[in-house]
Amino acid sequence: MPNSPAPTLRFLFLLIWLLAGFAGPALGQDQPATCPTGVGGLPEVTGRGLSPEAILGHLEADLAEDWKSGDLVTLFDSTRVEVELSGLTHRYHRRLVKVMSEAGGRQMASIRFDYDPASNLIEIRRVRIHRTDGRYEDIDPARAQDGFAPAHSIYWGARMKVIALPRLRPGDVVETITYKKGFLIAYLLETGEEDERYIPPMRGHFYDSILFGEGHPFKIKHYEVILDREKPLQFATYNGEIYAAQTFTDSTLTYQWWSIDQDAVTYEPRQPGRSDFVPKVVMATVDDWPEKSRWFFEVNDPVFAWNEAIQAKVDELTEGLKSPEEEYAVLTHWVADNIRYSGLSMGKGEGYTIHPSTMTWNERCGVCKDIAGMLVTFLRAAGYTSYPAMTMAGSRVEPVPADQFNHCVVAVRQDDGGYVMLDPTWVPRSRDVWSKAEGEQHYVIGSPEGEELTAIRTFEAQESPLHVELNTKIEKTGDLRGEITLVGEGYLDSRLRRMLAGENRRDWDRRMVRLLRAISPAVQITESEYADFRDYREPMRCSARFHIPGYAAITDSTCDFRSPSLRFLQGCGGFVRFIGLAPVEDRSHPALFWATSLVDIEERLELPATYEIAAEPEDVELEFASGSFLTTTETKGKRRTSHLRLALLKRTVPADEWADLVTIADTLDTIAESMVAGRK
Amino acid sequence: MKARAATISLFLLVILGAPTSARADLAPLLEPDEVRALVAEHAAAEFPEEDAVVLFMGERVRLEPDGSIARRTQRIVLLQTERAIGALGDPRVTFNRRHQELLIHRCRTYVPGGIEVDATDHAFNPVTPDAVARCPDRMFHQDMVITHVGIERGCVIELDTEIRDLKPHQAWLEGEVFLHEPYPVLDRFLEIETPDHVTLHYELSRLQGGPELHQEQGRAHHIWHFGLLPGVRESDDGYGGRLARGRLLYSTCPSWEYLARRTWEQIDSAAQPDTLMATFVNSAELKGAGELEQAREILSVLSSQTRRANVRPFAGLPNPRSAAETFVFRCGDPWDRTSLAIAALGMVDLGVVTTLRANARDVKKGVPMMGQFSEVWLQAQVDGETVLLDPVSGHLESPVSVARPFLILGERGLEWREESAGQGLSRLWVDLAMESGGAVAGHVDLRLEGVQWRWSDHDGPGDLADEVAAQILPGSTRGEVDVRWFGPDRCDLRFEVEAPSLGERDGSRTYVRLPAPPAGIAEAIGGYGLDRTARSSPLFLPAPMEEVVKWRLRLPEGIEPVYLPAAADEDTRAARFAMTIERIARPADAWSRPDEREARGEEIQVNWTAGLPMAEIPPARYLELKKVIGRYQAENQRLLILGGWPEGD
Repeated sequence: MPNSPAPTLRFLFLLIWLLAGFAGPALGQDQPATCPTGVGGLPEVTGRGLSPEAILGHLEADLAEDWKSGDLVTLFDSTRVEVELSGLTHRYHRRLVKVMSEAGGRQMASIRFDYDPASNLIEIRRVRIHRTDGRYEDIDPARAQDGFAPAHSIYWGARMKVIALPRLRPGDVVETITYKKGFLIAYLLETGEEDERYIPPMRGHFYDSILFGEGHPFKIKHYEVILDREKPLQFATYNGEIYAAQTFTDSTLTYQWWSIDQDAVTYEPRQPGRSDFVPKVVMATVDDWPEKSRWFFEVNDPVFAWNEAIQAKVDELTEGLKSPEEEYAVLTHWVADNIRYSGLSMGKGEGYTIHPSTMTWNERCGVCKDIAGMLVTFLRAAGYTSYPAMTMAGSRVEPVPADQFNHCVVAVRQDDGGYVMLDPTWVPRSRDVWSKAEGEQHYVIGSPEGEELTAIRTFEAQESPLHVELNTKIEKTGDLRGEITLVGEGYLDSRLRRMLAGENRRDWDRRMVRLLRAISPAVQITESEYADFRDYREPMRCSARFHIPGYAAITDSTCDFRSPSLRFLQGCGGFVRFIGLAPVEDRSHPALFWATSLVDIEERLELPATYEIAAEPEDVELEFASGSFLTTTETKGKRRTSHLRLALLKRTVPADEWADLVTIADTLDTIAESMVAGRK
Repeated sequence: MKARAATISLFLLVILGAPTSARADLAPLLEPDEVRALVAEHAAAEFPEEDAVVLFMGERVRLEPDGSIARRTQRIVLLQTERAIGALGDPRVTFNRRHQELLIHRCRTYVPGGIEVDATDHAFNPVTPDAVARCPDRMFHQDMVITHVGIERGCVIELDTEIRDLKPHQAWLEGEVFLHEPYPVLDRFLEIETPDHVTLHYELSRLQGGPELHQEQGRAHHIWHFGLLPGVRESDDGYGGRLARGRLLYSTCPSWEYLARRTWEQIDSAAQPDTLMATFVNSAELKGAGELEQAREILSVLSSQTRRANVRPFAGLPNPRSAAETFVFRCGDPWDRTSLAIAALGMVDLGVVTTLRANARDVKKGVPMMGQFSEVWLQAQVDGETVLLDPVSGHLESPVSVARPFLILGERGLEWREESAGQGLSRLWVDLAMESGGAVAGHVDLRLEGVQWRWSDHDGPGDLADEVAAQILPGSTRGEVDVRWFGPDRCDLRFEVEAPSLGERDGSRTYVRLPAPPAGIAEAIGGYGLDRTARSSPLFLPAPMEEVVKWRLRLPEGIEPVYLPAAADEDTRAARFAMTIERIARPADAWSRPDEREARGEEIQVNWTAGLPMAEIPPARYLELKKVIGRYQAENQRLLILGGWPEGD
């Protein structure tokens, strides 16, 4: 393409034109009063003698071949954020999305813009369809329907504007420009200046975390922040290459990041949050984590007051207990089991402040922060020093002190200055006070002194075992009769308890049958016993006697069958979570399994009298960094004793270790299909 | 001191939508003191095995002379487990905010110890249903999430709500009321009030009891009242619980003729094509395609390009949007999509008639109402067969496979079509011959009929044959498919297969699992929860079913069966199953040889038959069914062992 500028120059050139879309009167939009100068403008584009249509042509040229067979391509996505000294932000967002297929046209049949009226406002300033013949259609933004957003479990009054587009055809480009003022997830007093409600809770500060990857490819993605010269931003980029630039004027600092020509982010089963592997920039004006910690403490500390009823409940629960650990456990379990997850808005402060504990006590519901708040209060009422803490479930928290949290937990201060961490939201029906699914999780405690970013330790698989005792006997008819006992600890204690809690008690056998069907679909339970899933004093235990008609192929001289324990293990995907996953041979993203765990089976099997074990699948010994699988079998006459141990050793398995787990799963499938031969 | 603050709010009113109508509220079903007495009376657990107990469930419905409607519902439930708290803690009430308003009269929790906790405004949260979140012109559908606060195990929750029309907007009053719940109901009350000149049609299923009728001041009051109703947990009967639970249908629609004619008029009026649609239809790849392929292509494209907005059950008249509008904005409910499909099909001269598919096995003919239908389909005569086209999924179906009554709409008025599924049939014949090296070749005959045959699940005969070949002979390759019939009501295929081996070889033995037929009984019954220990309501199957497998394997010399499972025979009224396996020294030449390969040894013949003779299996016969299906599954797991292979081969 001899007439094309060099790629970087072309990008800069396009960017200037596209950014002008925020402000340029020729593009038909109002320029915001606070729009800074120097970012680019219409004269710079027209000075090059190119029409907007020609610029669009540049964007649409050179699309990668495989993008053309997709549904959508984002040609351009740019956000400019102007931050006032108060922390109030003005966001200008411009986006051009090209429809590549009819399915893409269906996806774009309506466009949705989310907002929260208590903390931000949104204006749809342009919705334009550039048709393939060069004409364009402007859709009146006033046609957008304004309604409540769909919600499940958290009901904080979020709203949305949805605008329907006339039928789009492949080749059409949809352009949108929006302006948004405020911040997400928070409410403030509606007194004083109208803008007061939009100022973020950590007044004067700004943070953001931007992913440079989408579900479909993009040509250009750009993000820009403009702050007061006295309000510098610290930032870092992660997970891949992002271009960056910083400029300044006498009064402002401008930061820009962009990325070009990125393929769609692929989805892989069990992948962690996309922020763990998609290129991103994390930024914040806060100095450090202790500053964030102190703010979190100060903004929430008043809510932990308690009344006589709460005190009475705490006294009742802790009466006769002898150690702090016992008291932590009892109080945590009461909160976990009695404050259900359902998030109502308290209005002021919702989203970043915790509901007053007296309110949570009365309503017996809340989201994680409110449930954590109830436990902080319980612990204080019991005489402990406790604080709420911010954490991130399912993704890393990067060192830049930006708010990267999605969950709230509890810290109890110890005499040595350390903390014991408790999470009541994640331990309903669990013996743990901190879920084993939250290992390696980053957190920041909100304390008066200010705390650093810290991480929970790694939990070993041995801390979450399922012990299985399987005693079986093959009868002369070939039927198998047996007894199985399951005892769970750690994370697998919770799995067993929740398995029962999720069913009506008359259906517990039905649930057990689903587990045993891995041995044979013909399994029948004849007797069963289940511990009380609400009793946390002992590990959860379930046992059953069962009968499988015609399990073995038996003749006068031979008795052939498959190992019941290996077949049971094949159905243990709920306990060791890489078992039974849909086959994915290669991965490019890590796999997040949340908890390490292991299943440990002791099996004793007996053949009918006069038969002896003659042949067996060979023992297996597979040990990798992420998982292991070991079997040992001893036979003595008609008796066969096996020990099987299958373990997931890492919470997050790197992509390059995935093949090891596939090897284990394939080996298990192979030997589980092999025959055990009994002979007279 | 009270353990929790009790908010006194005797009459809490939350209104969402347009301005409040001036009409008087419907009278409460139970006054607060009556509720308190009820709670006190049932504080002790009378049903310890149950997750919850419904102490009272009442509804009051009023049709005004101007046609506007109000419905008040009051429900009082004892929560005994976390499961019940999860299921009932945050109910949603759906209403149409364009035409209706919702009033929440009371949302109260009675905590053991006599404390009452009332929900306040922040516990009532309007949200848009997911189904319409991307369809702006359907966002008038609104869900109100009502959060019961202060709940714990052993508490009682009360919810008293009313939905009323802001102005008349429905052509008639109609309703479907389920009387059983998943939990025991101690007291069930229903009152329908109409002007006395309006005829109320009604019919009650699975429960006895006609209404008490009171007439006063020009109003007729129909009242049904039931005592203890047991919990019906098995509400998943494939018909939305309609067959298992007590159900009352009521309607003031004058007649089926009226319903059919008005519905047809509305759809016909909306189904007008425009030039944009013409461009689309003309550009579709339809040249040279037969009528059936044209219909499939048009429906498939329309279906994949249009979002679904399925928030409401069918009720009243459809009021579809115009086809052109649905085409342009790519979003519509079933009625909108039907009008669009009719318009598009009309452009290729494919005439269709609109049919309404019943939501249960039978239609209560005495109650003309739209709520007895759940789908609107199009019926066409294509290539000599009657085919049903589903404008929502884009699938084609056979009337037989659907096995539910249809109301056929048209200019003439209405016509009923009562389809019986007849007998579902799955028949598989497999004839294989094994070489001395272990390779296997042979042919497969497959015939599927009726409810066990879903044409739309397979992309042509080759796709189905691939699936069957992989199932009966893993690792096999198949030859051309001889398609004897591949229509919407049945398929009949024959094809050859070959594979390098049969089953798993281990030393001198080969382990072979017998094939189950595709779309067989095990698959058909798989979703019906046979892992329950007992049932309290009937189990409904789409139709009686029959399954036949004949499997023949001719062995090379020197290879012989060393283990064959014993014959099985289970015969009950609910189900039957039989299997025989025979060794035949000299194979009879009854079936033609599929190839020229050597097969001079013994022959094994397996005959497998299973049947479900009843489409409705009563609770008393559930264990029979379970036993037979258990045996079927056990036998299907059995292995046949062939010996005689050289060790180490």
